[in-house]
Amino acid sequence: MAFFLHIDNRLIHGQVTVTWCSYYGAKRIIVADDKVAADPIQRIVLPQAARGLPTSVVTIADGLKLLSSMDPAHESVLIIARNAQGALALMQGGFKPKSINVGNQAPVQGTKYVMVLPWIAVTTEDAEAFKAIGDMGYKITPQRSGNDRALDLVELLRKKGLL
Amino acid sequence: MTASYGFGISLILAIWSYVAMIANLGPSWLLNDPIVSGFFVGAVVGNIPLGLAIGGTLELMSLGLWTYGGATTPDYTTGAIVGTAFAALSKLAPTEAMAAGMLVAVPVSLFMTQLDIVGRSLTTVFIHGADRAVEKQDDAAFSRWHLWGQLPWGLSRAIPVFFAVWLGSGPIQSLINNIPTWLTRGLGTMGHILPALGFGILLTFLPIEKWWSFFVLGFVMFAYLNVPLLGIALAALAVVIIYFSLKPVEAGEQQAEEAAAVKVDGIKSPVTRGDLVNAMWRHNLTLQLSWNYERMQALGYAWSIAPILKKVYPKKDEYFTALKRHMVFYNTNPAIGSPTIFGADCALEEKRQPEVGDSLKVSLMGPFAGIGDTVMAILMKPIFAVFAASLALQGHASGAWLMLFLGFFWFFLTFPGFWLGYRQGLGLVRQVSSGAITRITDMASTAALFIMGGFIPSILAGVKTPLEITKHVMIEGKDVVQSIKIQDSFDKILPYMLPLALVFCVYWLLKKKHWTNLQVLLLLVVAGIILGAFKIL
Repeated sequence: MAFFLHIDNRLIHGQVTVTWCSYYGAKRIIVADDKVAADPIQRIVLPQAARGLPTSVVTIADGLKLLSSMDPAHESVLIIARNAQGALALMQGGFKPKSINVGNQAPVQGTKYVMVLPWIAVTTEDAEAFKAIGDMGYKITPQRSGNDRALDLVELLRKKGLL
Repeated sequence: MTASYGFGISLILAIWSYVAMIANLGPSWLLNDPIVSGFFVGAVVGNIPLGLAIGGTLELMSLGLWTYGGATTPDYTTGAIVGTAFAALSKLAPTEAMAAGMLVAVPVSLFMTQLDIVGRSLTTVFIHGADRAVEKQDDAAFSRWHLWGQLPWGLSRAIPVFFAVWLGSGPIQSLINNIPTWLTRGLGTMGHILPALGFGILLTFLPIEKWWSFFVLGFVMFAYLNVPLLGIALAALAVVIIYFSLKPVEAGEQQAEEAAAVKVDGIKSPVTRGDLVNAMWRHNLTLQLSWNYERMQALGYAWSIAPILKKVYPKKDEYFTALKRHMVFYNTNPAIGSPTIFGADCALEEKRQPEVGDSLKVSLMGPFAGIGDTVMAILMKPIFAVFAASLALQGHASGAWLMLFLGFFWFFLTFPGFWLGYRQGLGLVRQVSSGAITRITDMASTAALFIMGGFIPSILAGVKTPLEITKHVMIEGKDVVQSIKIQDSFDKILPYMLPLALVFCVYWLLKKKHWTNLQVLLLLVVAGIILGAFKIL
């Protein structure tokens, strides 16, 4: 029983529901992102992708409120952030996950990005946010599924010269 | 002198591996299915039963595998092609040739995973090329980048196959022809237990902890009532439909209201039916041709919707701005899912509602990938694969036709899927929020659980122990040697106990111990060879 943080621009996707929820044994999903929570279509449709798991689509502030009302000793929850900044905001708000993984970060049009792994695009701002999370004493893994190697993302960013 | 293949045969097999890859990537045809590819290669090299047997075994190993979100899986297609080609050259008896083929096919499949990653990395070049073409407003170059995006995919298969068959077939022969008997026996056992990997992987994707009762039903029908597989599949369908029609619908009424409030006004459209048909064919035939890690199906999507955009935005600047808008990350199930989203997006683009269309795309790709992957990878493919593999392992070519039919059926579904989306437009959101998706995936997974309950003991029936215990007993004053078959004692406790134990052991390693598929595969290969060599299994 614990909280797990998953950073993925696809939010709730096949890899999330099929692989990660079953990997962690998560029984509930919280998507915490201001932009997503503001879009009525995404708010309605996203929970439908969760294959029956109870799902909330909320802003980061509401997500923190929701999390503080839950007990990690009794509930397994997968918290999904859309990007590094969102994840950092959650962590700075006092959220303490058991582990942090990045599933997919597609490049955002009009930004200067580096492909750290074929499925992970990172800008300098993202890199700073990932580093800030790493500095809190967390290892961030960049796995698409449990079958990928559990590398250390911050170390990869250093190697790529982003930090 | 050892036999080997000439340039011609090598080239034919290389071309097949290219075509098979692309036909699956584009229109979802199953030419790349191990049974189909094994059959084709068998026909080319003159040993169809061998190709079918190797393909059938590989098919069962890969039962639960699916490239969720573009993850890489072992390339059993190339394994089947190279394995069949190599084993067919040998002068071995069928069982031994089959073992030799597997000895080649498994390492080849694993090695090709690495080349797949290389091939996929090269694909990024094409989407960057397309980005530049859009900047320069060069429509022809834009099309070329998409259509040639297939090259890394096809060539990363065709080139290794060509050289392996051309140069490798000779040298490997001396190895294959000198396999010791114990190893042949071991490889035979390995072939018997490897399908447990496929079933184990599949079970990790199924809600077995919640709905194990359906699994038990299927098992009882096969193990105690001896119902044939087709009968089990039909019973599963009936039971699941009854169960879900009795279960109350958890309606998302209020959400549906909210969705209906997002309004789209009717606008006179310059898009003709011909434009729609053009876009639909582009999408259904080529969506994934230029698939790449960075933005996945984005380029294919943009190229497919281009005919619509051209009509809606006759001004060149506006057209390319719209095209660029579609060059963003997109990935969903290409056959059951994407056509419907694409259809709805076409309708919204036509009504000049790009923001609504974009939001629809982003939010629906997850749910539709969920429904499409469940129906295709968890329900339809495993069921067809089990039937096809049983036929193939008995040497019937109908196994290959069955898999081909499945691929064509998926392709066929893309057309009504598109028109459904086009007619519904934004109404799709209401459909989705009614809970229909959860209902369909639940039905598909419970049916799959029921069916696997029967299929697992059936396919793994060969997992038996020949061990006997001999003991001396005194009967009427005489010393008699009695032998007790251990398998008989097992059968008295629970029929098909060993197959079940094996599959759940794989399931446990994958799900609870978090082993990777590769680790379990290696364990099964080693265990199979050892247990077989020592005649324990």
